[in-house]
Amino acid sequence: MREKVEVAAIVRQKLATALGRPINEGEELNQADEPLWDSVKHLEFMLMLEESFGITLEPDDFAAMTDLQSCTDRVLAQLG
Amino acid sequence: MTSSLPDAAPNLVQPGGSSGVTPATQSADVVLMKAEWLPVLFAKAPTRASLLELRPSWPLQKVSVRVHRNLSCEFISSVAAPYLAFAGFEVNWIYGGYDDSLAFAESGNVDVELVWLDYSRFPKLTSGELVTWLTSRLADLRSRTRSPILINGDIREESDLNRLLLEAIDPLPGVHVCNLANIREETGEPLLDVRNQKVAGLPYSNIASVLIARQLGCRWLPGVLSAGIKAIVLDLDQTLYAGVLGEDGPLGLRLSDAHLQLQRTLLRYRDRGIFLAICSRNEPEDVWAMFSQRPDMVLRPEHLSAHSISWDSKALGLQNIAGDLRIGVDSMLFVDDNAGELASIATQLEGTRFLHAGPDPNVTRIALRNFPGLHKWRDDKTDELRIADLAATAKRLDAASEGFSRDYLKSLHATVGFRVSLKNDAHRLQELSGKTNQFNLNLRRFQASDVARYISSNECRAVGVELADRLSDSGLIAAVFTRVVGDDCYVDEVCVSCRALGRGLEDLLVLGAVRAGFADGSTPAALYVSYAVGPRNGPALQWLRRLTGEPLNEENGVVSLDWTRCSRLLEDIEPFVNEIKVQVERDT
Repeated sequence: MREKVEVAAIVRQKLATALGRPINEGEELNQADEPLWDSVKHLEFMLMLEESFGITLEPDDFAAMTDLQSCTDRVLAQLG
Repeated sequence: MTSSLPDAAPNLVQPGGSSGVTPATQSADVVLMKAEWLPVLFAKAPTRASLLELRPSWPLQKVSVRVHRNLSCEFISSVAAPYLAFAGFEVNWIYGGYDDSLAFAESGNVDVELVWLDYSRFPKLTSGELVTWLTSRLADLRSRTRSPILINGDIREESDLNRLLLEAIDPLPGVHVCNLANIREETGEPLLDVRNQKVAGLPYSNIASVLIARQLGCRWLPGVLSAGIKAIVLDLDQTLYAGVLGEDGPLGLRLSDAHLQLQRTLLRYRDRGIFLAICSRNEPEDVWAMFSQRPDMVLRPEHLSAHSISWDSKALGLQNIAGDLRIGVDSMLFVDDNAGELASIATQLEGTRFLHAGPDPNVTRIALRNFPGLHKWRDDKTDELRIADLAATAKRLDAASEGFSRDYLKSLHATVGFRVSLKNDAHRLQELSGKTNQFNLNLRRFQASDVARYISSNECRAVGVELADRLSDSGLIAAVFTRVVGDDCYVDEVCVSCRALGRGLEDLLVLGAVRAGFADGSTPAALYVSYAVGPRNGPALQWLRRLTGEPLNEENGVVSLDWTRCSRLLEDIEPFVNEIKVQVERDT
């Protein structure tokens, strides 16, 4: 099983790619406060997480994964 | 003798924008960077993340595409960006609102109009009804813009909409269907995703979106924005097979399934009129021995229209091949496993396109299948004729080298057909305007909609010229666009394929086309011919200078010709032609 820190780094990197801007390590980010994180970027981010981790997310996951921490947690849960 | 051009015909829009351009000359760095991108861009299943991480560092041509849609195309356009950058473009996407009714509320000049629909949103209509409605909406859009129009096909396998749509839009000039059936051939993964539909209004799966983006960025948009490739030139070692002929010998070369598929892909291009050639640093006798000892090579010597096999530089070899094929080096794609060599050649040859054949022949095959500039919207008869016609050209040159004479011309038994404003010729006439470089008098690069206006306007003529002789049928090889203003005739554009040159028939092809435009037997009081000086249209300008008997002093201008003298030139050459035919569209 992948380490949480490794998963968190990949999640952060994919979100940075989706938003088109760097995200510093330790930077807390949530959809409500980040203007670049719109619905289009959100789906793009979700699809990239699926590709990267080989997982399938459900619409409920999409709705819940609105900050870096929750994204990391949901991915870890999927990875078992 | 130079005079100013009177007002253009009222329905004709002066061309401009970005159509018909050849991507700018590439630096060595650009060639190497593009080579590094290939495994990402042309993976069997490219990932969204890896595509979005690609950032071009070379200059791109900015173009605008307006999207008329009823779904979230943003998920496609985002990953189309690196493919478009590979093709040399940066697109400004102008999205309309979600509109099932295709009201086309947005207006303003753009380079391409893109209609992208989720056809499952029209459940009450049969495919036939839907296509009838779509065709009327596309005709409406056609009447509002001269830009190319693209519309997507239906991605659903069971749909018969694609066939019906292709048939229905055929008469609409400059309207093309993006065939999504190709996507199904590229992946076994599901193409639809109800989850994406529910969350974001995107009916496609992630992989389908990415593969659509690849075709949009590499095939469909470059297919209306850039000049086409006329020849694929191939290296041999480590490109068509694994191994080095000079070291491994013919029997030591390794042909994988992927290499064989790559070679089949090349033959499919040849079937569509793209020349194949070899440029290799090898001993010629070794190469021909390899072909004879390796019957498992799908690509055979008879498939090659030209070759340069020597120890000279490949830049020189490519120039020689271009000469043999009678095309410019900027109409060629060179495929070679040596990225450094490609980079070096890029600094010597302007406009040549390059594909690095990396270690995985599957990547090369997929890249070739999608390479910008190789997409053709439709097959036509001229494509089939092109390859055979080149071989006949060599025989003509042999005959002519014995002394060009009227006897030589007579021996060709040439038949020339003038086809005046025939709607069915519109696509080929536009292709000639877009592709012809050497004998292109005014470099106007007409859009399909411009050609349609020349065909339909009472004052204008779009004359296609077909040519056949005892050696080959060249098909439709020239386009002459004219306008009649009062008693005078204005020649706005003349495009003659290089395949028709060298037979001493240029006067007949051009002046005969002008005369054919006067179907009632009348003749113009004066003939005004427009020209523009370009980098490679010397043969056309030389022809015009011969007719005027004076130098062309301006970069762009109009010269007047005495029609009596033109008539004499026609009378001089006509006895040596076997047959001259004129066909006029009757229902305009």
